[in-house]
Amino acid sequence: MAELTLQKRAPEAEALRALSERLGDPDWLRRLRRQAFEALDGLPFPQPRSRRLDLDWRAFEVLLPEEAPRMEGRRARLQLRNGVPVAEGGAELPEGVVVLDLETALERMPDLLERYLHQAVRFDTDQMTALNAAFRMGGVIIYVPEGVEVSEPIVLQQELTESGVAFFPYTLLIAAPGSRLTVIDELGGPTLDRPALTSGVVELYAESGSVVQYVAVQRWGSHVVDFTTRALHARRDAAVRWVNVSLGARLSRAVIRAHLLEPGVAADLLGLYIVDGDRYIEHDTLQDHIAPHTTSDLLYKGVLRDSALSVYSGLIRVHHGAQRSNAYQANRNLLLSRQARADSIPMLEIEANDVRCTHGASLGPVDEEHLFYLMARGLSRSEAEHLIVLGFLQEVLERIPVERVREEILEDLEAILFPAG
Amino acid sequence: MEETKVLETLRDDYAERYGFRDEATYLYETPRGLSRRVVEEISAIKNEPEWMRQFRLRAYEIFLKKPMPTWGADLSGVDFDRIVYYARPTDRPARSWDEVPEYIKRTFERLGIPEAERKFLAGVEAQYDSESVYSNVREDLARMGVIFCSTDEAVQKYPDLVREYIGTVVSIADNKFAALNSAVWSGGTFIYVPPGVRVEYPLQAYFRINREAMGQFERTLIIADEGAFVHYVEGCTAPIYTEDSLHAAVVEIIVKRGARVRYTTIQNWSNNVYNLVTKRAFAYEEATMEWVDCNIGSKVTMKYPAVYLLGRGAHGEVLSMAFAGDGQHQDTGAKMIHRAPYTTSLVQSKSISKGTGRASYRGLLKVYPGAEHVKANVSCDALLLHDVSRTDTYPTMEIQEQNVHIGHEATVSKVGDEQIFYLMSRGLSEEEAITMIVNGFIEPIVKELPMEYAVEMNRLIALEMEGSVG
Repeated sequence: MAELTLQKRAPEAEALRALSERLGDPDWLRRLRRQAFEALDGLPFPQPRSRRLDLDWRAFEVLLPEEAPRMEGRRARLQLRNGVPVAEGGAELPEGVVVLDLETALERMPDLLERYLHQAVRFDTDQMTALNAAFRMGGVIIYVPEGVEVSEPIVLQQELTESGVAFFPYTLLIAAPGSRLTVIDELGGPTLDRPALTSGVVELYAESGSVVQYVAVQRWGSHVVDFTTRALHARRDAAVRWVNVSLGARLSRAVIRAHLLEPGVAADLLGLYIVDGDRYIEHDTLQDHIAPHTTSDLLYKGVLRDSALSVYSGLIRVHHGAQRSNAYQANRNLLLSRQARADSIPMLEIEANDVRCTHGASLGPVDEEHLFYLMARGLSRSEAEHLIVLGFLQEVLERIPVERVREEILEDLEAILFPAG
Repeated sequence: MEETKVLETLRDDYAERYGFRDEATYLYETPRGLSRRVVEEISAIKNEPEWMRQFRLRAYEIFLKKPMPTWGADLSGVDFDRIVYYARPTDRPARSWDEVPEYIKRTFERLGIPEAERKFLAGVEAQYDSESVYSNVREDLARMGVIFCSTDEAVQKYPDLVREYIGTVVSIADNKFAALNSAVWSGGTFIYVPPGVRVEYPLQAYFRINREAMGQFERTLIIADEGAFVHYVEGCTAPIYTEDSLHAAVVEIIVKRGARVRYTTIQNWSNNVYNLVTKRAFAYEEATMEWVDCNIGSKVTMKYPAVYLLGRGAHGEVLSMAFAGDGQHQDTGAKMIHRAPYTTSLVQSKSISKGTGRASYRGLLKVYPGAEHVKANVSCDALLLHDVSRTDTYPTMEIQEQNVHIGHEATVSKVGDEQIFYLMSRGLSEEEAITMIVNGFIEPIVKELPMEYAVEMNRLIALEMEGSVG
């Protein structure tokens, strides 16, 4: 594996040019980067709802790779460190399926990228998406051709091992018509001393009749302030299960938008978050029913301890003419300490009448009666609480597709919630 | 679709039943628009004590500074310069119906007020534009110390009580429209119920806007002393004009320890009224506050009755029903603010959107740190009748205490084909079937209304559907 030296630069126009130069961007991508950079100052900063953040992205340095090893893009596992691909492995993928870092992909399939890049998440959504579009390097594309079924789960491991930097992970998933795949996108890294900023973008394109399972697991170190914007474009009869697991970061604000563009789409939207200390997690979801006969089912569950704070804000929007839409939304929070707090803002905007929509939100402590029941069976209070927390999360956990991923999440939540035991 | 035709005529008879106007002559009215001078004139005409004049002037300054709300309904049509802020039809409120001027009497007789009073009310107050024209309470209640009069009268007769409480629940700086009301308020109801007194029959007020481009700014203040009970019912109608009117009321309620207040509103303004109302109650230990809020009329309503649960064991309820017809926006909801332990609250909202109508539920549920063992539940159901109808739900929850149980649910649906089919297979016509379904939908709210109002509400919702299928 090639040795990497990382050069840090302030995110200015020259750095941008240098980045394009180094990465060998095609003209259209250079243009896009420049546009995004120029738009930056005019765009809103996505301020977290319940924790004021004064953040100047110029205070962070941008990572520039000296040299990146070439990937084949034929394996089910791809590893990136600080935006640079470092290893690939795992099972051989079926013919035509590609799992590649963006730079290599730009050489091999520029037209495909030009067609999809920043369609679902527009670069001018806010300052953070613009930063990503301007200074992104690395990033991953997964492409599955028409009718191809990938039986092995594809695993992306994106790691950040630097502090004092701004980092822009990016995942592009294109499931061509009738294809099937499962993707596990793991973002993480050790906790370091100086703060770091991440601004991630994920674009999921589920073309007609595709079956897509996408699981994102966020385990940033607790020095990270994390922004992420993820969007799905789902076409006719696509079936999508999309799981967002948030375990790390000091402050994390995730925007998750599912656009159901054509009839017959079914989207299963799941979320799980575990927050401790004085960390802050915010989820901002949109179930956007543009076409009739579409279904979305959202369940976000969180457990909070210490003086952690979470915000869930979710909107179901049924557009005029999107008849026979079914949309469900539920946010449930379990609070393990008196200082923990969970805000819930579920919203509905319905402009079609032949629809079925419900939403629900709840929060509360561990039920004393449940505790009493288990303790009467001989469990200690902490064992009982432990069991109840697991039971609470089971509903989401059991819908995460890969056994190994489920187990690792379980280990993480044990470590966060019950560190002594 | 057949069923989409149903209900189309609901409120079509508004013009005939409520929309008539009187060629009234006013003893006094201020010129259009608002100025410091208008505020001072209103105070002078009412011969108010200095503290109230100061209260108004302070509020006026705040009104000028406060921005218009940028959220909620579209208020771009509100033109503060076009509005008449004060119009006085009579000298003083009459105590007997015979004293009421003939044309006003005719108005309220057409609306059925004296009849209602004879039948089932403990007291009635009627307000015509800015001033109360009639106010009466049953003698036995008066003997027990129950005060029921217009707020203007209360300022003169019970200045200490009014001064102690006015502006304490809804501060003059609360929002732009509360400031406006505080500056130019006129009329409204003042109720005081002494400790332990239960007023078994409802007290009622009827608000009528008659003049075009009128601003009605009644100020209601209700104090239920320890262990008291009172049920207050208000109704509102107005004629149909081309120029929009503004109704910006402030309602303040103090529910002391162990007392219970129920406040029922049947809002049926004509479709040219902006209805922007601040309603709030303080509920102390073991007290119960219930808002039953029915919004049928107006062009735009923004109203979110609130209960501040300040004492241990206090209970708050909002039962809200909104009907948004063509061109109407009902932006209504509830606020429950839990500041004490063992407090409970319940919000139930039902809305129906018809034609291009838009019904929005907007609410806030807040639990402060230390308010342990709170139980709160919010449920919102919306029924959409046409494919151009719109409904929104924006319930916000800010929970800063862990040891609480909070639940929220919302549903949106239409009148189901299967439900209609089922009922029609039992021999009902389509019209009857839809009527039954809609009535069933709002039943949990309607059953909380006094009998006479429930009948009226069902009549509004149901009988109007006659002949509308086909």
